[in-house]
Amino acid sequence: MKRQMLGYALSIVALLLLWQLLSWIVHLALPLRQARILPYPVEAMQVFGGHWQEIAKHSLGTGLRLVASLLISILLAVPLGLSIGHERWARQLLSPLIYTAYPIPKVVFWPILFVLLGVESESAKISFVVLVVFFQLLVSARDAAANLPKDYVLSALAAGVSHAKIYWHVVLPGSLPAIFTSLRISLGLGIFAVYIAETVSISGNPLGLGSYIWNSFGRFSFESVFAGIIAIGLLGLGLYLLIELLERWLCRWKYL
Amino acid sequence: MIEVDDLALTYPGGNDIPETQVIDGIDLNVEAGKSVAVIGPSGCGKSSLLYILAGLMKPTAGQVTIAEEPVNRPRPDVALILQDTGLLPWKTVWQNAIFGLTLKGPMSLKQSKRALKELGLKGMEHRYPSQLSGGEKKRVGLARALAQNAQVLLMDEPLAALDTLTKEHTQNLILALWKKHEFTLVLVTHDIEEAVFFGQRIVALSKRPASIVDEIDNPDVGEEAYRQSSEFFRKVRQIRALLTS
Ligand SMILES: Nc1ncnc2c1ncn2[C@@H]1O[C@H](COP(=O)(O)OP(=O)(O)OP(=O)(O)O)[C@@H](O)[C@H]1O
Ligand SMILES: [Mg+2]
Repeated sequence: MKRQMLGYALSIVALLLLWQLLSWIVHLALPLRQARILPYPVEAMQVFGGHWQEIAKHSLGTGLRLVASLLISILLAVPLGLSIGHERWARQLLSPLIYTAYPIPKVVFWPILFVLLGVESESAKISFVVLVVFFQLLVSARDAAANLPKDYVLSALAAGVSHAKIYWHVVLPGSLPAIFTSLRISLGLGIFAVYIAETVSISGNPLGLGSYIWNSFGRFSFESVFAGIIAIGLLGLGLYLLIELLERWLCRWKYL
Repeated sequence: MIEVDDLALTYPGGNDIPETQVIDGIDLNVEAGKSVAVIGPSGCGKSSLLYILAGLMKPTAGQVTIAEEPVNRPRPDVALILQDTGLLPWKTVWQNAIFGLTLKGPMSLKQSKRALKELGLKGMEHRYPSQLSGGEKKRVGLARALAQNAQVLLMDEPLAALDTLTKEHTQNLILALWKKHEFTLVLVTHDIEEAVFFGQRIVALSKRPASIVDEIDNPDVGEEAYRQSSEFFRKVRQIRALLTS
């Protein structure tokens, strides 16, 4: 764990150095009018420090939205995916449907959602993120359950575990590692989706890092844009670590 | 105890897999407390036969009864031990030993504790299967069977992956458990010596679709030392000749 923390610290330093280097190059190569769009890390961090309360508020908004969407997606996709993967009739009947829907880029649906549920509405933002993340989780839960070694199920059934309880004793725990991998991918997708959703309407400075960044662009305040990007990075990292902790706890048998 | 009557099984096939007839008219009776070893070539349908006995699969024709009742679902007094992945990796030794118990009352928990102790697994209750050796894993499977107080023990090549010494040790252990607890033992194997060591009757199956080629009585089963005797080797040779003819 200590070594891992050191790894994260070094990566952050490396990213900052890279950023610094790129800013230098841009500032050397272009006139200031254009080069301003890529401020130095120090400038962004000054804004971050100066406005940390506002940024924290927006981070909290985005974070809650993201966590709520991920939770809803998990609650919908995992039971459905596991049962489609585990029940033979459902696997044969529904798998083609899933694989047809999976590759459609869900971004195409956002105008529809925002018209139906209202541009400003929280439900539109959350359902958009859920829509993006849902299929990712559904497909991996289905695949994990479908590929579970048959012997696990057989030995549990033979030991007298009922068909319904097989989910709790065998299908869910056996699929959990794959679901966590998928959840990490979903986190990336979810951040992307929540950002898009938050940039759609920015009048009245609504809560969320997407709105904050987009507003900052509007004010040509590029230091604020990058302060917002730092915040998104930290938020993602925090949630990623949270998922990792949860996995180490729920799948402790994998980490012996 | 176990009666198998004119059993047949055909897997239906579908999506490029042709219909496969796997079992073709097997009759078999096993009296309570006796042992039978089923031996036959790979892919002939041994595991399928065992799944039917365990109530996990329905035969296409024929019938299985255990203790005078037709088998159409798993029974709490019948335990099945599979080749390797019978243990659930996400459950500890203790959880693996008890998760099949329908009634987790104090009596049965006590019995589970006793079973783990009897199999030399005391102190390992909180380990996960990946922290056990091959032989210890087999013993957890056996402990589960004892914990549920099984009257019938079905084993599908239970010791195939073990090294020779661990294998003999575990065989001796199973033999001792069988003599002490007097359950009915049905063992499927492709190891001729194992069949001769365990089976008071040895049932040789044909290639797929499996039918019974011959049944050989093997009354001397019951002592560890049997494995050293000339009678043992005579039986081994007899069965090898039967299977290769
Ligand atoms: N679900 C299934 N659908 C179709 N065919 C199957 C199915 N399960 C097994 N088979 C086929 O049935 C035959 C018998 O399988 P089974 O597992 O009973 O053999 P086995 O005697 O236990 O073999 P081994 O000694 O290799 O374990 C095999 O040819 C196998 O390919
Ligand atoms: Mg087999």
